[in-house]
Amino acid sequence: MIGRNGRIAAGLAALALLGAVPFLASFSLEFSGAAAVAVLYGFAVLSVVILTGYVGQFSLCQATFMGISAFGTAALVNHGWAYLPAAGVGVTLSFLLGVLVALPALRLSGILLAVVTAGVALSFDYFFFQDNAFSWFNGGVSGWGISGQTIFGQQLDGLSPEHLRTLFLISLGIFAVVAVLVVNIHDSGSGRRFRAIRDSEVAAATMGVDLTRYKLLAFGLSAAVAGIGGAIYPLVQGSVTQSPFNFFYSLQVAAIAVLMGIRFIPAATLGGIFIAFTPPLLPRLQDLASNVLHQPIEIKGLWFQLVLGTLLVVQIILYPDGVWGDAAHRVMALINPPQTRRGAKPVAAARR
Amino acid sequence: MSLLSVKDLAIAFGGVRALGGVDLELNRGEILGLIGPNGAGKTTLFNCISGVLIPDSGSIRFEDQPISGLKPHERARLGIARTFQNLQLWGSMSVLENCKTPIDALSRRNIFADAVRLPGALTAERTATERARAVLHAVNLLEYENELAADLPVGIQRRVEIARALCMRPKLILLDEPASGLDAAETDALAELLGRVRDRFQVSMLLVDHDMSLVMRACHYIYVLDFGELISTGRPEKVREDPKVIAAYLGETKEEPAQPASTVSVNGRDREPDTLSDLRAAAGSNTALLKVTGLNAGYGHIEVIRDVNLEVRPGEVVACIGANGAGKTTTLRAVSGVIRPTKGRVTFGGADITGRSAESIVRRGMVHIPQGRGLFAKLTVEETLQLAHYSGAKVASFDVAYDAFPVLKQRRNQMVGTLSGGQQQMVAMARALVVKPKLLLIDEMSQGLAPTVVQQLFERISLFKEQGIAIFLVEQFVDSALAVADRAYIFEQGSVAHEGLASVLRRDQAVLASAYLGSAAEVDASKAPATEADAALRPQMLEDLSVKLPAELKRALQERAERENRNTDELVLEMLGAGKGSEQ
Amino acid sequence: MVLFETSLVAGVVLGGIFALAALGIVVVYRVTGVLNFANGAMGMFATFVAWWTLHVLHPLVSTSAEAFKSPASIAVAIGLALVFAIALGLILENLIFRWLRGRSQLIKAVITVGILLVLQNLAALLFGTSSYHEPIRFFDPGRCSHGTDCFSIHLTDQVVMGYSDLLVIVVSLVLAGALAAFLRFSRLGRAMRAASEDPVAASLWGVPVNIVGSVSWVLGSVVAAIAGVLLISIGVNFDTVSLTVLVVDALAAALIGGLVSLPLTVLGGFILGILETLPRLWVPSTGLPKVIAVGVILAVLLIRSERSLLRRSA
Repeated sequence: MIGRNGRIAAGLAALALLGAVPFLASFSLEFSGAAAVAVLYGFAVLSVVILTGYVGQFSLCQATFMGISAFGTAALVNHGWAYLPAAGVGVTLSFLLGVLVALPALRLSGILLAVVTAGVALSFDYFFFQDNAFSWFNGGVSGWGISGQTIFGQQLDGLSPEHLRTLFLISLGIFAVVAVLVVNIHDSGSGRRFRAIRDSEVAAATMGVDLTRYKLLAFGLSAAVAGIGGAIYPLVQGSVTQSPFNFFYSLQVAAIAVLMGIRFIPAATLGGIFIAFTPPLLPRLQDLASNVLHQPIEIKGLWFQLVLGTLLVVQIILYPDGVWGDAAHRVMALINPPQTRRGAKPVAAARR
Repeated sequence: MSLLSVKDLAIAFGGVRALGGVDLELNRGEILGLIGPNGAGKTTLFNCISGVLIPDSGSIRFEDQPISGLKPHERARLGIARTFQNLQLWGSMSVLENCKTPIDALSRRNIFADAVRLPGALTAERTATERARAVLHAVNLLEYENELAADLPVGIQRRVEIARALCMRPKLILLDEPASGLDAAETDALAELLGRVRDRFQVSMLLVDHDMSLVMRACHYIYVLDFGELISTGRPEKVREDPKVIAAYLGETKEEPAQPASTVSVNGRDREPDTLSDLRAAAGSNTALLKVTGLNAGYGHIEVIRDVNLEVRPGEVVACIGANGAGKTTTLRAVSGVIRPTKGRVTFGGADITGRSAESIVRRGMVHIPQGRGLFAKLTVEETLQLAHYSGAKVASFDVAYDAFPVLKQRRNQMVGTLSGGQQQMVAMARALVVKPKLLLIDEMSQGLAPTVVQQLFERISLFKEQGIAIFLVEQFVDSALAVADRAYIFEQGSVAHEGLASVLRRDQAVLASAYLGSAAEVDASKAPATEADAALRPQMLEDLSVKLPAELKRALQERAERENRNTDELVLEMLGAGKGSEQ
Repeated sequence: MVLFETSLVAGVVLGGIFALAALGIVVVYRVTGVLNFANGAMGMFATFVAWWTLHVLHPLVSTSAEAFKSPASIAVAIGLALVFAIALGLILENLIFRWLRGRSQLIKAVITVGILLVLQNLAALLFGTSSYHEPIRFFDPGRCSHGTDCFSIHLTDQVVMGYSDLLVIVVSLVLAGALAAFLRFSRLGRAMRAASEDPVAASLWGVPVNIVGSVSWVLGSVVAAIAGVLLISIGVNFDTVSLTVLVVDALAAALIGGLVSLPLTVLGGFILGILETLPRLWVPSTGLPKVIAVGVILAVLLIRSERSLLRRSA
């Protein structure tokens, strides 16, 4: 097993490599935009890893946590606030909503929690994000536009490749910091308490873990991480509308996290890249397929969720640990052949 | 002064009483045993003490402080730790992490400090690691510290649960069936471990287990629960001889075991066969209807039965007895297809049915009435019998069943869930009459039923016999079971320990007692007469030792015990052993 | 100004739809233990099969406009939708859920989220994402010989209830009754009830658990399809999304019935329908109904939830 510092170093190195990508490739506006989008969905998937992977609480409203922060940030900016304090308020809003959603979680778990959070996602989607009664918050039908914002003196709006690249690097930096903090929490006493709740709530409670406190904390933390992604969103896209935070995106975020490996932080990076880069690839795939098959093939953006859903179904049946989890097991099995001593088995094999 | 004091504790689930006013006193430094048949309410009591269940009434005091209103984690922080019957380790965490969690749950650390690795958090982390490793070292588990808890064998997992509980620096540990799923050697090691742990960590224990050999050896004092009420308390040797306890375990008060022949003739056998080969000849067939060879099975990682071999011939009644957790039920489940055996072969009527689905096995003519009777509370009696169509019943009329159990005819339109336990068992057995299988497996037919009802049910067994249905019977009411059976298998710790003629076994009380109340050798070892001095010593010594008396006083006490009676209370012996060890 | 009574009627009709959708969820959950988030999407897809049949295939007639008016074409379309629903139910059970027995309820629920995404996007690809689709009217005012308000009854002078509205209410009640009767009196129904109480014991009785699972998925799928078709028959504007998210209202109604009771589920559907409709008399909000549905879910869950830690973790 690679040590903790080794893993963190490897992760940071991988992120640094990703950060170098825009400089290596000839970057276009589209590519830089996708790179920045990858980071902010990385935050979304990371939030699921924290909540479901670490603490075992399943949520179908992670895009809502993103949305409340995105709208909050954008609304405040449009009311004349500077970006950073506005983003701070946005993330705080996410945190508070997370704690609020956690209150029923104290009494519920499993599928019932999934129902409640799905309901929360849907009602925020239709009510706060779409309804004209909340146009002071959601900016009405056209949403909020954002332009001319700066962070640390850097001009940031999603209009030029340079700006997007800077934004990508800044958000990747924040992602790296957050990821390290999350790893620290995972390995520490707090993280052990989280994982204890996931593995056995009864044992956790009878071994001195305060379920109320740690469940609220987990939801708040997870929502805040999603909220960071949400706060970056307006900068990347230049505007905030309801559609990227709707019900289906919440389902999508959860689906991608499960698909990539809900217990693993690297899965967040994979998930972010998957969400951001697959849709732009579809037109190229379309060209390729048309050339190969010698007839026009149309591949629409809808294919993305279609394929995602299919992969999820296949993955759950065949690879319960997700893409990263399963790959990691296989690699580890190559490095350390499975021990026959005491009948130890790899987790994936045992569960099947 | 008592450490834990439970008064008049009562709880009911959906109108069914699980505990009906239980009192319990546990002294400091004591290992208190809590035993009783299945469903006696032992685990429920544990759950009430640890705060997982809220009792309907009664009080629980810990160190003279009422704790009834506290949440589980608050009780844990006061010093009540526990283990779980069904192993609740945090499987995805390493053994070391499992042990560190309760340690840092006691300290107030905040998540921010953890996230940015403030010096305080790192120090706390190091301390937790050291303490956890110290505990693991003390219970000889250090070599497993980096293994994932879920990957360990059950025996080790049970010990890790104890280590984890110890890491909370508890004053009291509740041990819920720590020996279940362990083999004989592991159980021995566990008994030894408990004594060592008690001395070293100065912790009191409340121990629930079905394995009498463990309870008799490890406990100073025993409470016996049955149907949610205390039926006996006392020292192990006293409890073991209490007729009420024996009745609760072995069933109704015994008929004269010296006259088994009369019972046999009641059940339609005209002569009592003397040997197994006689019996085989009497059965007139050497081809087994059911043949089980080298069967292993279990749940998840837990292997419950190992290398079980048995057979049932056509028309034969075979009883299967043994202590709880010995693997009888698991064997039935593996045979009838409820669980998939991990090793071995099951043949039925000449065909290999190993690993077949339960549905297909039923249709081959093997009906399994599981523990808890396998009925459906919201179906009526008639509807339930109509379900027998799926078990291969050819007839649409249930007259056979209603003739055998007239009461069911009256209640044909009543929901099964509203029937009494005995009537429910009749429904389950009525199905067998309708289906007419080749083999009927019955698991714990008498569980939770009054002795008179049980007697009636046993009389019905002969009905099946008359119809040529072979029966394989798992039973707690040993005497009745042996009375109707031709042969019997005695299960101990996951495999068949003895096989014999029912009539012979019925007379051989020694074998039976060993199967239920610990093996004969162990009985002798702890069967020392209790003297008055010893009795007076008990509470005093236990308390003194656990509150860290000066070493001289401790030694004096030990010497006194040695002088007065070398072979007294188990506890004293253990203490003396420990004391000598440290002096040398 | 919409009349209170009119609004009440609309609420009851909407409630009938919710009840139907919820019945599908309850049947599947009760028997197989799968909480089906894709229930709405399944109904949506079947509904669009019917719509597409009329719109593109226009069976028995020459144009799609005629098809939407021809009872025979409509019957063919609905027949195809039901065949599709049956096939979908069989596919889901046999390709997916029978391989997941013994896995946790949560995993099974997550997989239905994947199914939801597949159906929703496949439908959007095949049938388009436009937000207007022509409704399938069983009682087309165009076939009226006199005036425009035939196929309707006047409850009072001002309150009119269309036959299609009535049909929704009748079908929901009849289907609930039929389902209950099927479960109560048929041999297979008994087997399903047995399997729902204790699948292991049921298999020991020889109950064919796979067939029982297939039947319950087919029933759930067909009932969802009927709910979808009836919803578009009352002239509500619909698209792939609106029919899919119907699942949240359906879940709310199903939870009122404790995910078990058919009568309570139907009652829950009607209550929810009224709750979601009446407030719009005073609050002109499009999102409010969903908030109400979620409020109902929360209230029901918190009232019904088990306080015991043990039973929750079991």
